[in-house]
Amino acid sequence: MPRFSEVGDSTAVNNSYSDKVIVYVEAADDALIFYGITGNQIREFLEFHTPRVGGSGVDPVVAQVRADRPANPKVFGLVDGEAAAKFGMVERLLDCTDLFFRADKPDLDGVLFLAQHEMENILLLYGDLAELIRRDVELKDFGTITVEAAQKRITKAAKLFFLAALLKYASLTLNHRAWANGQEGCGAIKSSRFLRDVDWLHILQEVKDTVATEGLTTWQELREEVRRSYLRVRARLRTSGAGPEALARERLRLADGKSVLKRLKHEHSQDGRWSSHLLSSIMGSDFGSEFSERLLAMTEIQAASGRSH
Amino acid sequence: MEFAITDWKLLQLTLDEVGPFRSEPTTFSFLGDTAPLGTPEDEPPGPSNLYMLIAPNGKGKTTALEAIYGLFALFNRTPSGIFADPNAGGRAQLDVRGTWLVDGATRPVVLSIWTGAREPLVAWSQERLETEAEASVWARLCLTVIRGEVQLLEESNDLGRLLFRSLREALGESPTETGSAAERLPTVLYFPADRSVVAPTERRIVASPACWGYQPAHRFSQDGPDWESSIDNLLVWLEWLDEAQLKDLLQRLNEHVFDEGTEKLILRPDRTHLLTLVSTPTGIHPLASLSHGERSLLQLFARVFTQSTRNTVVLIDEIELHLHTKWMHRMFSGFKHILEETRGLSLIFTTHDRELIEVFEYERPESGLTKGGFLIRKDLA
Repeated sequence: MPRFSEVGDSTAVNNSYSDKVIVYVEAADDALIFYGITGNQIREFLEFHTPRVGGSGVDPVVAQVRADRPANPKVFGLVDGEAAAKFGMVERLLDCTDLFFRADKPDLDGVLFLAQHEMENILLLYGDLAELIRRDVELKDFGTITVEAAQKRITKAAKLFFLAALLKYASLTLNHRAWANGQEGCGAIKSSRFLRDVDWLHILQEVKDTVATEGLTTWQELREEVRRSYLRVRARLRTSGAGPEALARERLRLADGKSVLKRLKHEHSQDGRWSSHLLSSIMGSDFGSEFSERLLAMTEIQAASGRSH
Repeated sequence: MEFAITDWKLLQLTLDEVGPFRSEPTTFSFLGDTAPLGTPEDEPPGPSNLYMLIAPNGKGKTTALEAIYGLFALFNRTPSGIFADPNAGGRAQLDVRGTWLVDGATRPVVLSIWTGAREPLVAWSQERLETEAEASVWARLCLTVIRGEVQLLEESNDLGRLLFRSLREALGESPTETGSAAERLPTVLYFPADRSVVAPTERRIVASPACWGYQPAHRFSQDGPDWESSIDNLLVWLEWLDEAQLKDLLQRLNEHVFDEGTEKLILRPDRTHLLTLVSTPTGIHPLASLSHGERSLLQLFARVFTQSTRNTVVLIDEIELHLHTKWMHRMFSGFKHILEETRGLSLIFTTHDRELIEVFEYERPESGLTKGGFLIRKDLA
């Protein structure tokens, strides 16, 4: 029975009054896409909000959850899966077979992580991207790209940016380890390096040179982290008896999703609104229902809201 | 005996076994969360004069308003409200801080009014009076209803009895008449959520409106359709009773009810036909032609302007009722302006409108407003 000042600012009071689950997400576009995936009917139980201070990204979401949650246990955060590496728990992302995972760290209480590298990977995995690439061409090129050809391009891009993502995870993991020991980290290796029209081996050499120049970690350490992550994913898939197709989907799950989309758009010289198209192919799908159900279950409101009746 | 009250502000309400408040006594604090603009930082906000109470449906916000009204309604000529039924059960206590002038001596007093038990739900020690309420005296009124009549139990004290006598003696007086005893006494004006606004269809006569005259607690649940409960009757009554008050009232109503630029004006009632007319860009129409929203605003403001004393607590359940969002904003701004100008007035309201929670912006200091609020939460109710 709190006074307003015991709850927080007006928005925190409003959120608490709503008696709904409040899920903070990294950006306004993320909220729009999540509503698109879940359908607006989820608003009866849950709302997606962006943090009130600090702009966009993981850190403002975590800060907002930490600020609001003591007075309102229905406040959660939903951040990109890649953020797990920043918090030193990339294994949870690599091992995730659910749609979300938790941190199990007291300072990340209420923060949920997407099973994918980021929100765009959901569009890549569950949107009809190959069909979109086939159709989204100049009239004169209509029919020149088959779905199979488009799929090959997607697979190729996913391979490249899966490697880029593993490098980023490795650098973030080493950073986290260094900071935990009171040392300076090497900084994140951004996937966008691989967007340039240069052979990827050349870019890899640049990364190697940069690491050597900075001297904050070694190429061997970085390579070992990448290898460890890759083998971890492979081992899990082998244990479950999954085939090559499953590995391809794992790459799409863990690749730098924004970069994959950028690369494919760049290759087609198109500036279409792919996100909206991909979202529309997910809306109303089984995945959308599953996403809603799991999110509601993870925020523990299924029983409380009486949805099971 | 000279008796007057000023600075009348609710401190807290405690309920036990009333409505949904069953498991243990529940206390609503009416202390402000934010002091008025310009208040020194080290000065606590004190009791609110603008207070928002929010909760999901069925969690007790209406019960809280009914309880405040109900405790004061025990003083009415005919006790009414939820505590007037001797079989209702439950205990309730309202603590109010005021400055009491008794025979030339002014004292800060905490008044506790309670019912349902002989012992108060909350006791005020001398230390607590001084530290929590900046008061020096505890006035006590323990009430019960026996065979339809309110009785003071012996747990009441002399100051409590003095207030009781004063309230009863002032019943029916004109509350806004300068110098009247009622003007200096407290009153509660309660607008429940089931209030209706329907233009009157009955025969029009010059007669005292149903809620005319001082009462410690008024409940305004309807404007029409019967003539006595209508705003039309109120305006016609004032036309015959007090031209100056009517002129002032119409000016204030026209300022608060209509949007600037709508070119609408409530005119003085026609004495022959006992009809109040509204001038609009499309011609002159009867008051009944106003929209539901306009009549709702008219009901709220007309009652507050005509029934308030210098110590008035206005209770509005679901303040946004009947109102388009723009009108809700205007009404809310209007009340804030009135509160800033009227020292002895407090407004306690409930809402389900989430936009209004943001507009209220309890944490932003505003001139003349001590803002506070309370959230009844499902998991804690």
